[in-house]
Amino acid sequence: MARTAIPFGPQHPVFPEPVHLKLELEDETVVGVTPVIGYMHRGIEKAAELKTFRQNVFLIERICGICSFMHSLAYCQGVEALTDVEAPPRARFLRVFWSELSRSHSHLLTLGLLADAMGFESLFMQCWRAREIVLDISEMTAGHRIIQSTCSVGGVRRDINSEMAKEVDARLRALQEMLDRSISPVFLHDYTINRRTEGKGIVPKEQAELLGAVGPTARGSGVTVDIRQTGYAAYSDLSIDPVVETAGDSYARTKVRVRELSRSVELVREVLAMMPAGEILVAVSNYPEGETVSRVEQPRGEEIMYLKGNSTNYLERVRVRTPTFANIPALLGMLPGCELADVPIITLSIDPCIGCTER
Amino acid sequence: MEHEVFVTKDEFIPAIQGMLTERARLGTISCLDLVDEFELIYHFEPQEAPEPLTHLRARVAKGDTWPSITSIYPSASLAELEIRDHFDIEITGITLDFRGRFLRSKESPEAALLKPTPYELTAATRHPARCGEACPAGIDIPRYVRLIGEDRPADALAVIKQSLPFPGILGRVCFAPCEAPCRQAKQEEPIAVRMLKRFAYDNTTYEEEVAAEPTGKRVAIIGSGPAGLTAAYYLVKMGHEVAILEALPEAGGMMRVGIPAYRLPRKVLDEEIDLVKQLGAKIQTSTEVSSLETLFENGYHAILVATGAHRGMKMGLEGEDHHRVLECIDFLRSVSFGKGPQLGNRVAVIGGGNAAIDAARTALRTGAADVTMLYRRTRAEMPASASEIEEAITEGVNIDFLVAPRRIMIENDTVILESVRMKLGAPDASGRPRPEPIEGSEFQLEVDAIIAAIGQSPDVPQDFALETGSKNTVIVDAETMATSREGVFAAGDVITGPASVVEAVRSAKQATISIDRYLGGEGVLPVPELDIKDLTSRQTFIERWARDNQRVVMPTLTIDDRLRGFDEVELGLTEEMAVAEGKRCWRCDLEE
Amino acid sequence: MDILTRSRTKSPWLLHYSCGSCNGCDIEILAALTPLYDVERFGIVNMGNPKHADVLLVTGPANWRNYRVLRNIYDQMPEPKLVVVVGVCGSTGGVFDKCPNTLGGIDTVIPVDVYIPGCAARPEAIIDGVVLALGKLEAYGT
Repeated sequence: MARTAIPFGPQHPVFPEPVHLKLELEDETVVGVTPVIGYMHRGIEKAAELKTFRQNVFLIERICGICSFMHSLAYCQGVEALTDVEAPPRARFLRVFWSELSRSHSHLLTLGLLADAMGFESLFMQCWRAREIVLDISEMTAGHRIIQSTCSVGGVRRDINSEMAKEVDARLRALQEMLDRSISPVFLHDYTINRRTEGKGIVPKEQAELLGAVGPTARGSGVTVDIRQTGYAAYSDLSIDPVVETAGDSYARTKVRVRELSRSVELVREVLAMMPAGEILVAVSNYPEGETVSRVEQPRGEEIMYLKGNSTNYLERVRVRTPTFANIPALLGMLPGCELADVPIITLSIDPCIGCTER
Repeated sequence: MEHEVFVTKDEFIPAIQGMLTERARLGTISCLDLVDEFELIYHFEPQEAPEPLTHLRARVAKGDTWPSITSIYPSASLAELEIRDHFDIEITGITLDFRGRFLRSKESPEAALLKPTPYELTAATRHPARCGEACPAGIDIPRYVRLIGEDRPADALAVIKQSLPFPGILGRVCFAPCEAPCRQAKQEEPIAVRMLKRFAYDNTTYEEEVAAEPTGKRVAIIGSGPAGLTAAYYLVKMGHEVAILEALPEAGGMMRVGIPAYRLPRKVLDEEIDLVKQLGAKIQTSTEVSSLETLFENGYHAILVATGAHRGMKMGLEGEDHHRVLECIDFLRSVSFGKGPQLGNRVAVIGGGNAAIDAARTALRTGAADVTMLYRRTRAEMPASASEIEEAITEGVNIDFLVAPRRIMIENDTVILESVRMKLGAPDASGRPRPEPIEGSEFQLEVDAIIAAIGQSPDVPQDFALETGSKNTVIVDAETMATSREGVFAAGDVITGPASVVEAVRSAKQATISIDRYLGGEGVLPVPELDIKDLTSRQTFIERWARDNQRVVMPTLTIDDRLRGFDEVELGLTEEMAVAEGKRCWRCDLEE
Repeated sequence: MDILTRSRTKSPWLLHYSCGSCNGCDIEILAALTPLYDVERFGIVNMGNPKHADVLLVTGPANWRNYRVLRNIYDQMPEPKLVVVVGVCGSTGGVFDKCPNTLGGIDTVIPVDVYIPGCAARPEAIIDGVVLALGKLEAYGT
């Protein structure tokens, strides 16, 4: 049968970001895919060598505006390891607070985009309406809707008072109710969503491991891995059970996100209740020295940051492996065999963040 | 990092296969540019558990090829492609390839993550800093502040001397326009730049370079104030023959007769004047010049008019001409030459400028017990510098704000000053609120003497035939400082009206350049080459974050000791204080 | 106001293209379309096709790879067209100054009509910026 090549992107209505897929089709079936990326490459790894390690926090948190806080968290934890500083307990709980807020807003965002790609406009609007609650909390506590900019080497820069905590808790309860009543049931039980995603883009467990998938993509294929289990920040004081599905298709990945979302909202409330009193920021008085690998669990999966310091104000190397970077080989394993009309759904089911991937 | 395994090229592929048999998951690959070679670090994570990581490290010589591991771990493809594109390492046999290059387009900079040279050798790129840009004399302020912070005051003095002939004087009397724009002033207090300059001068010595080949040209400088001395210093070093003609019995101009000795000790002033003499300039005191023609006839090729602004302005009040109503500059001058008049106990000083403050503080030292300053606006509008006002108040000067004199009456031996209270109105042309009298609020003040310090203006003889502008200032070209007459230049207060020493230095330097050009020279100021090792790495101080950020406080004499005579009030910084203050600098010039 | 200008200003169609932004502004643009801010009540519709669009919303700094794509999109849009840059990095390069692959602000590549500051720009600011752009669109008709 004759093969057709179809360019998909870089400017495409489904993706908010530019990614270019060159699809090879036999009739309507995708048989080959070649991604062409680099449209968003800025060179942040190099720029991070040219700025001081404190300035870098602001650059690193702009690798991606969605999981911004977690990028800076990974970086700050790494630099703290290199400078022999330990963030105070309250700061570690506040870091979990903003991490889980980011996770819930990111999951709501991606679930909404997925619904939009299916043409399920009202669900898209519902997800993003719920997301505004999280963004309001973020603005109230951090001063900005999406780029919280609260993480700093040595702790965090903003504190939450009890009045704020009460308000946050009330709003999260409203969010929880909204999730329980409308969003979660639709994603988990709705016929349309089931038909659009079930059996699409299957990655079996072995393949997921070999292709290096991370985060919900790996957990949707039955790989039990969640970096929060290492107990960074204050996760050691919280119970983290990886949410795992075994089917390995788009539906499984979506279900993982929906269940993680509920857990995230719970975690934020738990953290607020458990928060110890005390300092939030300690002074860092020496230069980073040595090498370290810092890992955090982002909404899209595990981020690995390798940092090398040489006792100057500048880091010698900042290497960032973002979760989507690890998930792209898995995506290339999913696409062949599907129909052209499913390409957007499958691509969105790994929750691609091109800004992260290309840095 | 825990669990590091170093492998060679031969051991590499078997080691990767070993990781696969252990079912480890490949996290990612990091590449480091070690200048001579590359280092690749393969980060592995154990299966089904988050920790511990294993790091496989291998060195790759530059220009060498390296085997791909995509046949074992397909997930490595993206990372390997990125390394190939960013570091130009030829990785052979990547099974999963992307069409074209990965993160690079045709035009993008080649191998963006490659390091050009090791960090230690990268010279620090310097940017203009706010303090340096604000300095009228153009001193490289951030550099010398940094050198003092590194406890190298001699090098710091050499940096200052590149742009300023008289650090001893300026280290004491400069109004430090550099301190206000300091970035730390926004949050805390600015760096004490002036005090550091004084520290460098007081504690080290500087060898002047020998004068250049004589050019055979003669320059006459009228006035031996800061502008005249600066011009003489540079012109002599350029090889010209310089004669300074001074009307007063001693050289120094306003620095000698306007600035009291407690701020500028005569020893320092004499040292710096002697320096100009040693370099070869001749200073003729008590020589009043009345005509420029005579000078040209006497064989001078160029003339610099630097006569300053010595004529006190009149208040225009009734009773002003009485001998108990003194003019500020006349008063300071006579005190400087030891012929100060007996003022009596109660003295009123009218005005709010630095000269008024000097007069008030001098009056205290010459025996007046009760000195009151009258100023028609509020403290915020006072032109005198804030630290001077503070010092005056500390010494016991009363300042009465929003008061303007109306008339002066002499009854028997007392002087009665009738004044009126003012209120602030709409801003005037100078941007300050215009004071308006409150009618009916007149009051009388009984004093023994009044000192009027409401400003000075230049006093250029009519015979010079120079074009003059507002307030009798000489009009010059803003760039060349040339006056309306050929071969005649002007600098200092005579062109600006009463300003500051450092402003005079600036205009004198400009005038020097154009005088040299006029005499056939290159117009390049003799700036000595420095052999000072600056920072060569990109290191900057960390003290900025980790330290108690307090501006140094200048040690001063006690009030009793001050009022006993004209001893210098400020005692100078100790080495410890100066170094701490130098380290406080944020080094805006070195920041990215 | 003629019928064309009137319909353009009463219902401008947007095209969104992300250059090298961090996604912060992109999701804020999307947030402006969703119920809380709901720009659709002003008749503003987000389109996928450059040939349908009146206003091009661009985020992020231009880089060596995407500037040709951006120019291509701009060239495909019919006149009168407006370019609105969202975020500081698209306006000047912002935080991505010194990144080796960026070219600086969007105005190094295509002409820009409205700059919306913010990092990331708030939806209110984005709506305000688009309304500013509409004023310019109106001027085309007269």
